[in-house]
Amino acid sequence: MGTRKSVAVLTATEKSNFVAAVKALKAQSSGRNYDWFVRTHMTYFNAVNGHNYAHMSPSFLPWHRQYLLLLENALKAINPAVDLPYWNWTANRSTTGAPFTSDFMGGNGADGNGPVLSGPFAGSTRWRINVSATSSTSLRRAMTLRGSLPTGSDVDTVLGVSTYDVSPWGSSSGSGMRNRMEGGLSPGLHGRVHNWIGGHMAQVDSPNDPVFFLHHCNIDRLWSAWQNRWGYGADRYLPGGGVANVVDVDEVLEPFGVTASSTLDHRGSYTYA
Amino acid sequence: MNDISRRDVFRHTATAALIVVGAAGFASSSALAGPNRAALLADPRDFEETYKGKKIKGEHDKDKGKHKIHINGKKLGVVQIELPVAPDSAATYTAVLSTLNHFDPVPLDEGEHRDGLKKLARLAVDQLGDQELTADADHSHP
Repeated sequence: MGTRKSVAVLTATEKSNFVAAVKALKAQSSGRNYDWFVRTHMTYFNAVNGHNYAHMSPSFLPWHRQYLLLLENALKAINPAVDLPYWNWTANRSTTGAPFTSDFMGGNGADGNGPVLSGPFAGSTRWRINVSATSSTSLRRAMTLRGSLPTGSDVDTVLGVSTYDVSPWGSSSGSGMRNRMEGGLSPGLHGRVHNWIGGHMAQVDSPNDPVFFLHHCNIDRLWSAWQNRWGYGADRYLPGGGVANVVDVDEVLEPFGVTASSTLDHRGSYTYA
Repeated sequence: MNDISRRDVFRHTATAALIVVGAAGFASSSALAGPNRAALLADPRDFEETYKGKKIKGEHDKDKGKHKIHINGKKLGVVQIELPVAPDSAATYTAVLSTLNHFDPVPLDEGEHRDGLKKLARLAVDQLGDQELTADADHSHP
């Protein structure tokens, strides 16, 4: 079982192991390589088979939990010592501090809206963008131009909402924890961080930036904190059943082939430090 | 001019335009053939202009939510969504997202925001900078 740690406490070896494993996954020519994860996120941004599996729906959190677990297991197959780290943006808020250091994720884009200039993912020879809505083959960031980083108070607000989600189970849900966490409802934790980083992170192909996984690991950590407070049971996920075009608790999350209920209690697979 | 008077002006203008169309149709259907007919049927919010060196074109389809944006002739995927106006409110507003601004909804059509699709197109151009859209930008949306 793995322990997911904050990017701020990773050792130099842990950072280099993570970067090396991510690059090795990128270098794989077939199967569930890194670009498979990018392509899958693009495909599942929209409804598939009439279901919004990944976004603007209750299954936003279970879908990404399973997606991250698949990536983490792929990295562990390369190096068993690797665990997915999380970026706690309420504590680490600098564009030059963790995780945006030259030995880990690298920094901002050139002129504030161009290719990343520093770190192991700077330039197309180190990290080539193969699948994207835009033509750059180099990773881009445009940090702080749009969006904002949530505060601890924002997080407290979201974690204090006891109901997981409410009808109509989408972007227009006027209450519930999920839409506040995802971003359709204030204070909206998830989407604004994508915008704050900008570049590829603002796009449908946002997993092209490895920071995507550190950000979503933090979202998953916050959901875990909510579960610690309100419960891990299947009754805490809504809807419980009978809602068309929405992943009910016992429906399968595609393309993973597991039910939403099977993702709820992660403590047998990993925990957060 | 406040929001209500703007809406009133728009409604009266649209009504007047419909009367003109109806009268013209009654008088002579041939007068509405070809480009003239297309121009009369186009949504007045549609646009075609150059922004920061890129040609942007937008066509509205609010009824079905299948709006279209092209940038330098390449299609940008656009999705229309509904968002709550405030926590614990059942009221919603309509916004649009694109494959380039997927976490940054722009209000489409609410009062003073009738240029929402153009704002979305310009936001996409800002995001592009010196890049162009690829075929993957035309990602199908529900």
